[in-house]
Amino acid sequence: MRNLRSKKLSYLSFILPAFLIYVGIMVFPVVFSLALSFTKWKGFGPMEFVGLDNYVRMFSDPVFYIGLRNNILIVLVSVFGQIPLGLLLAYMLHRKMVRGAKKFEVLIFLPITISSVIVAQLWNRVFSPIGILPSIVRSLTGNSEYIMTIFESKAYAIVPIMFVLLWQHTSLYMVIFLANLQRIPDSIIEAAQMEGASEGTIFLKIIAPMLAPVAFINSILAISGSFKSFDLIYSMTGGGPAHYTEVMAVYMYDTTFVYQNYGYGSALSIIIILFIVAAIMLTRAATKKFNFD
Amino acid sequence: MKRNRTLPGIALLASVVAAALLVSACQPSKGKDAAAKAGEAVTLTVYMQHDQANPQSAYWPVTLEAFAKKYPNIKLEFEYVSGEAFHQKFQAMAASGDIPDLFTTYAGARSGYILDRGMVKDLRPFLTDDFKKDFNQAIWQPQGPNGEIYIVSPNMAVCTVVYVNTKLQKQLGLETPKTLEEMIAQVPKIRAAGLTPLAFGNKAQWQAQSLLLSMLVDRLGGTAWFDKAMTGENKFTDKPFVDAIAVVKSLVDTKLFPAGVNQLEGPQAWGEFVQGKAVYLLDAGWRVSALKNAATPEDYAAYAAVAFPAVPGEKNPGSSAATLGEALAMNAKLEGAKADAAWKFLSFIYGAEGSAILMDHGTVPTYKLDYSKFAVDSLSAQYIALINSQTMGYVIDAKMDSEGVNNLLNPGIQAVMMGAKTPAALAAEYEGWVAANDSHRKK
Repeated sequence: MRNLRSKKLSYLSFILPAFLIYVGIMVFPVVFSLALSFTKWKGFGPMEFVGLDNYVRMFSDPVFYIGLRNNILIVLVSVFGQIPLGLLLAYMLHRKMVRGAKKFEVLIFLPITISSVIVAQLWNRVFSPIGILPSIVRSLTGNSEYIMTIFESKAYAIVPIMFVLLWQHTSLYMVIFLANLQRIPDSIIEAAQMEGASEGTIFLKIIAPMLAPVAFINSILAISGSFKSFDLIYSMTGGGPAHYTEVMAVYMYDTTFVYQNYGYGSALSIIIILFIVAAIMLTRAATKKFNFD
Repeated sequence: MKRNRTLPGIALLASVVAAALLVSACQPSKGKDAAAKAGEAVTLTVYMQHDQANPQSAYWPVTLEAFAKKYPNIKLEFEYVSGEAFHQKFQAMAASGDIPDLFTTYAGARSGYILDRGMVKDLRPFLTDDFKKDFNQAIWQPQGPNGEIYIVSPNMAVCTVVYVNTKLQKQLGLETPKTLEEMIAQVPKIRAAGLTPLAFGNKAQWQAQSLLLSMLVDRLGGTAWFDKAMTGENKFTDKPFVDAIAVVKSLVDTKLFPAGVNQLEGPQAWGEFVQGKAVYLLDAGWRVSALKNAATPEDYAAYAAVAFPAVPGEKNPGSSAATLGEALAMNAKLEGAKADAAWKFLSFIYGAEGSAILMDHGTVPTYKLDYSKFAVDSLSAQYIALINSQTMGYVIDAKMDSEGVNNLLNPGIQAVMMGAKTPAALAAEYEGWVAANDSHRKK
């Protein structure tokens, strides 16, 4: 009995440090945010318990819906843009369909190594009214007042940002696909070629099914990354103009730290977590359904 | 296999307890009694937002040396913290109820965590008419709900100045416009020359509100109207506010502003002015030193600083908008010898002696000096003359709650400028938010 007890104590002593760190940096902030989401608090002074008011407000807040819509669009461009494009590029490199594959690989991989703040500044220099792109259009068309009016469109202002996200993050998925492609034995592909399989058949019948589990993992990364999108958008537009490029994470940050509404900001952060968890559970369910585990 | 549900349970419980402890820690606590005892030598603790590595801080050691020479019996113990860390630490001090004798304070919401707790001394008993007369009178606007004055601000952030490139004006045969109509009438000629009439950038959203709308609201309504709008006696749907937003919109419609003004960053806008691509620049008073550093001496010498031109229906001709720069304030608990020593320090650093040192180091103080004794360049001299001749209205974001201004008004002005919203609709939305949420309406 005593032996069992001392064993339990020794197990606990092994687990405790990691457990405390996990509680401190993972569980506690979420629970604290949840508690704050039921209050009205400026970050100082007394807290006022407001029940579900912050959540009720959220569902009638037009800015929240703009952020949600833009987040969903970013998820779509990530899952249906970055991942397929990453796979295509990885396949082209793996099958040596381009000359100078190594240089090509470095070139594609470069954007993900650059800080998002720098990427934002770079593309701002391209899109700004005094930037490269409008200047080229002005000189070609003779229209001295040309600007990229897409940034002033409520419906489409997010599109240039989606393009930059595609440009920046595709390479990450390309590298993951490439690493997994290199694990597929050459002998399988050679056997298929000897049987007369075309490049398309090899891709569709051999490569794609073998990479499907990786694609699902990439989808989880893409979905959670998309809901957390912050740095690039914050640096590039700050959610403006007129909230047109707002996403939930930027709105949450501004609400909490700029408007000093910690209660509403916490409610937004809880909803972001719920969206991420729901999206990942959905992906896991799909993974199980198609037996990719 | 039986799953162990104990650990997640403990984790959740531990988090709930920790969260509860933190929440309770954020409740206001009773401070210790820190009454000072009178004595010959007095020591004051000072918590100051100050970056000693900043070249613009060079005036500070000189000021302290001069003070120590004049008042050897007053000892000062400084703690310097810069940036956001200053506020983070000070909020924790305020929550514990234990704050230093003197500390940096902003006359507004930024220092709400000490002002709302009544921790800052009202300086009005110290402020004699004789002392006040030598300052720009705009700094004596009430800083608290009952007219309290917490700080003697050494500098004012003047938010609306029109900078003029007189060289370009001469080339185009233009005169500095007295009215907005005259300025708009110059647009075709300036545009035909391939130039921007009035450089301005509003990508960060606050500029149109701080640098333009605030001044227009003062011109059309005045501070008395604004005071009543804050408390609800007037509404933000009233004519002065709606008309002021309409004037902002007109600057876009008449092409005074550059195309894509809401995509243009502030530095890009004044960069265009410095490069000689714009005849006028709408910016704040603090841009003078940046223009001096960026422009060639010949170009800089050709710059002028003037008031925004007259707008139709204005009641406050020629006014600008300004907010007070931060300054050291006094702990509300200071009494007797400590309070006297603290006031000696504040009146020295912000009065004639300290202001002269500040001016020597290139900053125009709110204390009125004989500027002929200082080396002042042409644009700075014009700027000093301009702001001393203007009345100053409120800067909206320094007066109203941050959430309404930053989440609704600033993006709303952008929407109006882009034609997605009418001035009246924005005014109604803002009034709705203020009526329901702003702290001034809840008092």
